[in-house]
Amino acid sequence: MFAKVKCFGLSGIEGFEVIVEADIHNALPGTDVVGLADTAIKEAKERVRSAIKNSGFYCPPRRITINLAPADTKKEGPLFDLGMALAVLGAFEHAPASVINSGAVFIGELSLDGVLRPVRGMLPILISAVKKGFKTFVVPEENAAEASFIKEAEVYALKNLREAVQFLHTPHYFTRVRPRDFSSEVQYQYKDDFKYIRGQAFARRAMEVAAAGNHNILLIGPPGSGKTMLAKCLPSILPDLSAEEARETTKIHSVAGLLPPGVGMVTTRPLRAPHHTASQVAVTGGGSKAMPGEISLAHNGVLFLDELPEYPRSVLEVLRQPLENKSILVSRAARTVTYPADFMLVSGMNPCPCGNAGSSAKECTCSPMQVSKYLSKLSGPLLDRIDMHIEVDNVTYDDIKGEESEDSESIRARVNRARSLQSERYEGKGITNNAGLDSELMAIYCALDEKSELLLKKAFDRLGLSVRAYTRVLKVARTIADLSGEEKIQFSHVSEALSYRCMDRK
Amino acid sequence: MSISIPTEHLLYYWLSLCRITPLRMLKLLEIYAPFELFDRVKRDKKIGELIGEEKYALLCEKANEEILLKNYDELSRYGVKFLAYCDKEFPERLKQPEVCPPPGLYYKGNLALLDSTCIAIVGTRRCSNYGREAAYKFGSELADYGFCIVSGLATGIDAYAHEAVVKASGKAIAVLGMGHAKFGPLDNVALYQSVCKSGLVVSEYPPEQEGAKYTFPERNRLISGFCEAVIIVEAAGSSGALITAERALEQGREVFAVPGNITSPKSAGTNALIQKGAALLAGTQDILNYFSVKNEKIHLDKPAIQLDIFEQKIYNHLMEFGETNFDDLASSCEFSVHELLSTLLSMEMKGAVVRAAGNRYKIT
Repeated sequence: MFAKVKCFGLSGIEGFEVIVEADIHNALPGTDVVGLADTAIKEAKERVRSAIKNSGFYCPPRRITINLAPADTKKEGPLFDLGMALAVLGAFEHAPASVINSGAVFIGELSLDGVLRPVRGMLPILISAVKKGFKTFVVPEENAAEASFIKEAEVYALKNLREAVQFLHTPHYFTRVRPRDFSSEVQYQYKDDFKYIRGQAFARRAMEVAAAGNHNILLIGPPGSGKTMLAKCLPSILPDLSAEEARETTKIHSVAGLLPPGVGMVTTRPLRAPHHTASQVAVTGGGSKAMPGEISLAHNGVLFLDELPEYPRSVLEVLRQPLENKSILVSRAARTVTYPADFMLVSGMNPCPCGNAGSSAKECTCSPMQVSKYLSKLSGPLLDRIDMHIEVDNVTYDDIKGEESEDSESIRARVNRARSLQSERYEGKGITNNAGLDSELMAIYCALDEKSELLLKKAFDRLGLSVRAYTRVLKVARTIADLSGEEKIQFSHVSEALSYRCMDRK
Repeated sequence: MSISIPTEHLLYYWLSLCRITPLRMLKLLEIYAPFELFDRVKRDKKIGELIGEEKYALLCEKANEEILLKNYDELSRYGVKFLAYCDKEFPERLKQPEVCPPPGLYYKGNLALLDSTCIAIVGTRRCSNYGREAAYKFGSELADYGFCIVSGLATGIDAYAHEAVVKASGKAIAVLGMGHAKFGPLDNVALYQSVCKSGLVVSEYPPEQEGAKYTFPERNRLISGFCEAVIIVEAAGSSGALITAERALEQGREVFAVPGNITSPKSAGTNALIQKGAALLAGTQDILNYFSVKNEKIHLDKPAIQLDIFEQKIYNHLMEFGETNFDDLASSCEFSVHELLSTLLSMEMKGAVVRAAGNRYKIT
């Protein structure tokens, strides 16, 4: 009258082994769940009872005790439903208790009629479980796509509880899910393509440079100048998503329950655009369950903050540390989780509160005080982490009517070339792109000739550039040199890089 | 017991410390000479009636040579000097009764500028791009002809005009609406300092006096007072610049107004001035004609700018079409974006073009 089943729980983006045990004894009928379970698990006993009944099994009224081991680790979510149901059925001898415990891991949520429902975080769980040596997994059918990316795992996708019991009796009747490869699924088609952006030659070039060096960029322009469109198109010119990157990003999206059904993975570089009312926790991650935030969901992709000065100061300031570390440590009472957060920050803002300062079409109606207050919302340390700021002007009618521009694919080809130069150059140096250059590496790779050095010096005097702009200009110049395939930074590269620092001039 | 009477210079300093309103000061000095005033101030109740009790008490309190000398010495702490009404450098133009001359001016900079032909450029604080450009244009062009530009160092037109003058190494006089130590707005501090260095900054207020609602209109009478002509670049219907225009008319100065769009509220004031008979200012030539100046620039020592063939092409285009957006420039000059970017930057370095807001370029 006792059975146990192997399950897996989720903590951040790591899975951990949980053993579900069920015992039946003679006492007043009822079900107890012990083992630091949260509400979703406590409620599972109702789901499990109905699912068992509706799957055609009869369980006489007895006292059932379900234990989730290890007893000192907090467990959350409905992913133990299937395990609990099988443990109970095993204890009532509807299923062979010995087989249940033979090594397969059972994961899934149950609905009242016994159908298996998908759970969040399947991919990270499988990755952890495979690492721990588990091989066979039984998962809900809808999680099959996601689970199929783990080649080492023998995954069986089932429809309902009844099938799960059948699987225990006759496993050889079932065929495993065919494994798939991340790289074969990565897509190069994006809805937003640079060919739809008419005019904006300057902004297009700036975006290309930003993509080629993974530089954070700030777009300043009046409303309707196409800042949002530019940002939305950016993922389409970022370098191709590697299998490893896709896997990392998919893990985070899986934990957040954001994977598109059917595909089961993140196939393109993500673009996350939280609204400016988003809270600090929503952006960085957290909550009682320490869920990933927007910056982690944008991992290997783009985080777009439109109307940058409208964001609360606190939200902008918390971005500083992840921008340096490429990851964020979310600490809560229950647990501490490190989520990766290697994103490219693209932000948009108006030049003043009314948005028309410097516009060719409309007059600005703001007082100087309003403008300086608006601009002062961006702290120096944050601007410090943004390599490029460019002004975007309104598009004219002629631009709209003009010919179609260059498409993303050909831009991406150039970006890919520049990036591969960078990753070759920085092999073994701990960075992969120019944005990651520190002062030590910069001395080696960003050496300037005399003429360019003179230009920089002159620019500082004439254009009033700040000292912090110096390293930024060098990094961007390095990227421009990479785009044109030059080994050394040339005069023209430095002068172009200087054009991407408009905030420094104010 | 006889009181020792300080020098006339110090007496005017005494009067300026007590901050009597300009009109009352004028009346007071019509009746009494300064030394007479100092002598009688504590006995003559009529003085009190003339200037109000509060000011009278202050006047009495400060009527002590020791206190005055002590205060006077403190001026050096602010780096400020005092120019009294009686001093020979005090500009004659300010001595007209219509100006209500102040008893003295606190100044930093070069007094010799007071001898030059002065033109005021004033206008609204919240100016449009048009106003900014006009202020810049007249500031730099008139400076090139050797005029001394007078303005108030306020945000907007005032600041742009002076910025242009400073850039062109021209002559600039700024008249403040507050004491030197309380200069504002803080955004213009750098400009204030460069005018102190290369030009002259004056204020009729003691260094510690804060700017107030009434000090700015009071100051406006001095701006026009210094000048032979006043240019109003942009002014809304209720702008303070119109006060300057009014004072200028009272003082018999020529008023020029820069016309604007009838749809722009910021040009309503200037357009109204033109209707009332102010001279319409359409170009620097109008000013030159008024002063019958020969068309000859004074600053001829500007270094000639060397442009290469590509830069020349862009320069010619900008010359022909005026301020141009980057993208239009790229398409009409048939440059690739990155070539154009570096070419424009190098032109900017040479001082041939400037970059305006919204990614537009124009020639200097």
